[in-house]
Amino acid sequence: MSVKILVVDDDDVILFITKTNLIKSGLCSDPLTFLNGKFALDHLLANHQGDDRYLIFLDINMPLMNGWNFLDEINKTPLSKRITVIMVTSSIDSRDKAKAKEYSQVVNYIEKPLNFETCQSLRNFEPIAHLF
Amino acid sequence: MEESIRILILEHDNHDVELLKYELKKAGIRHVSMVVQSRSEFEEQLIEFRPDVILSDYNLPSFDGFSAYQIKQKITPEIPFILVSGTIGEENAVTLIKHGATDYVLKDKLYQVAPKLRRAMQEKNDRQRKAQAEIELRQSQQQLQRIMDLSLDMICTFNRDGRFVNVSAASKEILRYTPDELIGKHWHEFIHPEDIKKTTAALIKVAQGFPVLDFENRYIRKDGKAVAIFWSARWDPAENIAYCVGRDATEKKAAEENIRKNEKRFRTIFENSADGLCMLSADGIILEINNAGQKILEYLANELVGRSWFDLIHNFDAPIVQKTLLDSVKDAQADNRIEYRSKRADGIYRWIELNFQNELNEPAIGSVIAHFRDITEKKLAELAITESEERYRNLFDLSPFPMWLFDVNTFQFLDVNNAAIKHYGYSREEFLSMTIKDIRPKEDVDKVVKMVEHTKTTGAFSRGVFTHIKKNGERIFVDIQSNLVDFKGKKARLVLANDISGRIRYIEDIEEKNKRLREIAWIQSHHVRAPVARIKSLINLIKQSDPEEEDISQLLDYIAISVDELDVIIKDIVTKTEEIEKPDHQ
Repeated sequence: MSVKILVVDDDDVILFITKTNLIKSGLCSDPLTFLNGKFALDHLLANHQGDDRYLIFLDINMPLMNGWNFLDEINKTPLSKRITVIMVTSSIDSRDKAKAKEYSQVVNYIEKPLNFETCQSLRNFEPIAHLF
Repeated sequence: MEESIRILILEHDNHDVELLKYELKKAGIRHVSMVVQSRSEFEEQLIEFRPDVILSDYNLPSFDGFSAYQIKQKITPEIPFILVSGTIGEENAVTLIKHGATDYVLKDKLYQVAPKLRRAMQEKNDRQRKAQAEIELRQSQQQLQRIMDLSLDMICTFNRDGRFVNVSAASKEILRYTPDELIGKHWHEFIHPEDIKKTTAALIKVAQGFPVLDFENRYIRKDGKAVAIFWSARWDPAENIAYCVGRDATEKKAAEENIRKNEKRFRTIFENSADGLCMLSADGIILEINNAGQKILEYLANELVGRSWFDLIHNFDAPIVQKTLLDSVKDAQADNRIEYRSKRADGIYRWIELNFQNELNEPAIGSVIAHFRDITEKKLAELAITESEERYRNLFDLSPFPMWLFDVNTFQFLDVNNAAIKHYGYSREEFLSMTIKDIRPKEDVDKVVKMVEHTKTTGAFSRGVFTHIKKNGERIFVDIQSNLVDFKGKKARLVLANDISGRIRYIEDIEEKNKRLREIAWIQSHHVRAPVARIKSLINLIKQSDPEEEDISQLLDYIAISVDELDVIIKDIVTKTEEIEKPDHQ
């Protein structure tokens, strides 16, 4: 069983920082990055294999398909059972935080950018520890 | 002096006529005579001549004495008729006398004519006098009966037995019995049983010849009601009866009783009144003064009685009080309430309120009543009120803030100041025809009514901000301060309204701006935070990198991008903040 990590954010810099920290922290050697939910969804639908598991670092506010729409779309597919989501967002809207709890796949809500220390601590974060 | 007697002579023989006249003249009888010979002449002169006496022959050629007598009896029966005849004969004479002729004289005894004529005249005069007396008696009896019938007093006579002999018609009125029902009955049957004894005693006195006046007893009227009667009575020894005049005393007694009652009532009031009461003569001399009056004036009754009321009055006020008393004496209905300063024994002046009541014609009182009380406290309070009212007026009228008074029961405006008229746009007349509800928005009226109701008994000073509507429909916010006051006897609220619409709008503006500023700060600080966080992360990455192995130019580019972004955000904040400060911002 292997876990694939996806980072979805419309900000290049954030994608870069997140990817770098994920690699440096040793959590993942090849995270995939996407500029919006649509691109991430298309990739998953086209490339998922067997019993692949996915850990997705997901932003909310994005063009084309935002984080919520992405979750809604993926929940219409069998992939819904195979993803775990950590919201990484700058949204200060408390309604977003409340909405995140409605999705069973969302296990954490982190303020971006995802830094090195957070990446290290995630390895021992109980809801996802089994993935590694 | 004896008057001339008019004599009608019926005689055909001239010689005999001469002899007859001679005899009359000789006897000194002054007379006027008329001689007739025939029946027609006789009848004519009986009326024309109007004789006092007739002398007639018995045998006439065409006539006779008996026929003449019968004619005379028909026409003038009262005139004496004397026969003068030579041949009459005893028998004829007696027949004639029997029929009523006055007398007869034989011609050969003519000397008898004069005395017989005199006697006949005398008899005739006596008869006339008697008839006259009878007429007069009848008339006086009728008058007496009229008096008896018309008298309002009951006139009655009692015989020695005590029975009514005669009773006047007034009995019907006084006792309800007609005279017929009383006459012949004993007074015992009609009198009040308790009064029999004293009435008997009174009647005995009357019968002894002592007149009784103003004797009072009670009769029982036909309808069973007792009636008091005042009697005067006198005994008439000639007729042996008591003449009594009775008058219904009920009215008089009732009047007397009234006076007694009035007097008693007046006494009670006089003695117990809390107000000062003083009985004065018409010229102001003190006759009597009650206890309260003595206390008010601080004089004892014996120090006052006999003195003039005006001695106790401030010199300045005495004339007007004197005039008021005079007016009251002249016209009992005159308005005579007056306030003046009275000088007490200790020299201190007190304000007195006085009312003269003219009771000079009231039998129970017979004086002018001065009804008075000490109003010094009230007067001083009034003066103080007048002063404070003036002060209030100035404050009210000159206040730059709208002020008004409204009735807490009707909500009606009672008074408004100029500032209110100017600020709200209503005229004074409009205001006074309105209630305070009319300057409120409809949705506030219930609240306002409740609040006024709530504070109208506590009278609490109240303050608060309310919405008012001006005449032009503009809504304004006013800071209201109000307090309960008495205004002309009405419970009113004095209101001071300070229009703070400007201030409120200003505060609202400020609050709105603050809110927006907070929003800006919140949102923008977040926006600021994002690039800052990124820069922080990038710097961390640079620190962690190995400069020999890694190219950090990419990182530096990213930092530059983030700094530019930060710069844009800060500029945006400045712009938005400036927008808020612009005066036309809404």
